Amino acid sequence: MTGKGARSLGRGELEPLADLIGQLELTGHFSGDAVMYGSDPVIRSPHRLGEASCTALLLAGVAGAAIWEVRGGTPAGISMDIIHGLHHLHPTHYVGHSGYPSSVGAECVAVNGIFQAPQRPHARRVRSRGAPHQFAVVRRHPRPAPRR
Amino acid sequence: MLHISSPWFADTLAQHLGVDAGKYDAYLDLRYEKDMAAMRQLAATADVFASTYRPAVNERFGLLPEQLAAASERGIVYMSASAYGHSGPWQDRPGFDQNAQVASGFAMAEGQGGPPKFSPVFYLADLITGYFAAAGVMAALHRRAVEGGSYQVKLSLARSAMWVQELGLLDAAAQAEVPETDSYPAETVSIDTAYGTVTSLAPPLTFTNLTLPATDRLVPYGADPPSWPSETS
Repeated sequence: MTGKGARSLGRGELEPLADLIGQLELTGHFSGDAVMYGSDPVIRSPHRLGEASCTALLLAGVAGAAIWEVRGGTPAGISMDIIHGLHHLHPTHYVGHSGYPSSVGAECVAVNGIFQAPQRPHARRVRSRGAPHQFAVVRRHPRPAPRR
Repeated sequence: MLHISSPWFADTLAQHLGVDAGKYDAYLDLRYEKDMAAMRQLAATADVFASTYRPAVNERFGLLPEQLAAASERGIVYMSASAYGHSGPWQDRPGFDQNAQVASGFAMAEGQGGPPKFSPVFYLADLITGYFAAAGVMAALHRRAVEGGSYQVKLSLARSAMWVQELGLLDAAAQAEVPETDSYPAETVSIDTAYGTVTSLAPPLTFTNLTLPATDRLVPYGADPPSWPSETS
């Protein structure tokens, strides 16, 4: 992995993450530190794709750690490498089935693209198709017995 | 997590293998009152309800956040994600990741003055939205544990793409040495399932003082009854 350029929430070096933690009203409920290794660009793009994915995943980690803390767990620190973040922007490309790739292949479907609109040189059409979305219901495990 | 799907509109096998590890999977056909009653009962006893249907679909089946909160036995966290947001003229429009990339202006910036382009790994908004949804749901569960009540977590694909743009743009002209594709080695995990060996990315986060659970469960759609596992085992 990148193995360099560690930036820390505790040292005030992850401002976008700190902003999101504030939006979720979790500031003060997460006692550990969050660390991101590496920085963009890690792939050719004007956007900060690795940092974006890494920040979103670290935010989920912070929220989980806050629940862990409020339920009596020891404060946990979180870290993540930006290359993992880049991979997790397209996780379907890493799915394998009995030794063979199992990609959804949406990028190979002809209509999933950007097309020039006829007689409107500055307008483009985007088309896409996919499977219908579905429901999920979640129930937590029974609350464990209080610690003595 | 109990995944409810129609017996008539299954996702593809590749989608299923990629996103359903760890879940219980049951069928319900919500056009029939018996199945609809089972859905309401599940929702009434759930901690979290997640739906990425358009609002009109949730309304047709009586699965709007206010309705589920009113019937919830313990307070519920309702996660809803749409293509273009929960208000405004496009709130009822369907859309996928790439629609959001284009509508938000992400694709225009990615094209750098030329034709618009998708993310170099094709995906963007689906994943950012999913990770934000997980964070938002857990934040709401944390708040419910402290204050009680029911909460709605709202997300949209377009807003996620806009957030990525808000992080600021890089000088693409200075990226001649940066790879155009994601060719970095990846850490993966494999589980033995009813389908055979299924491989996927390893969890990306490392925690101190906290061991994450692992799962080897991946079953076909409809393999489980529409009830909580603790009530059927």
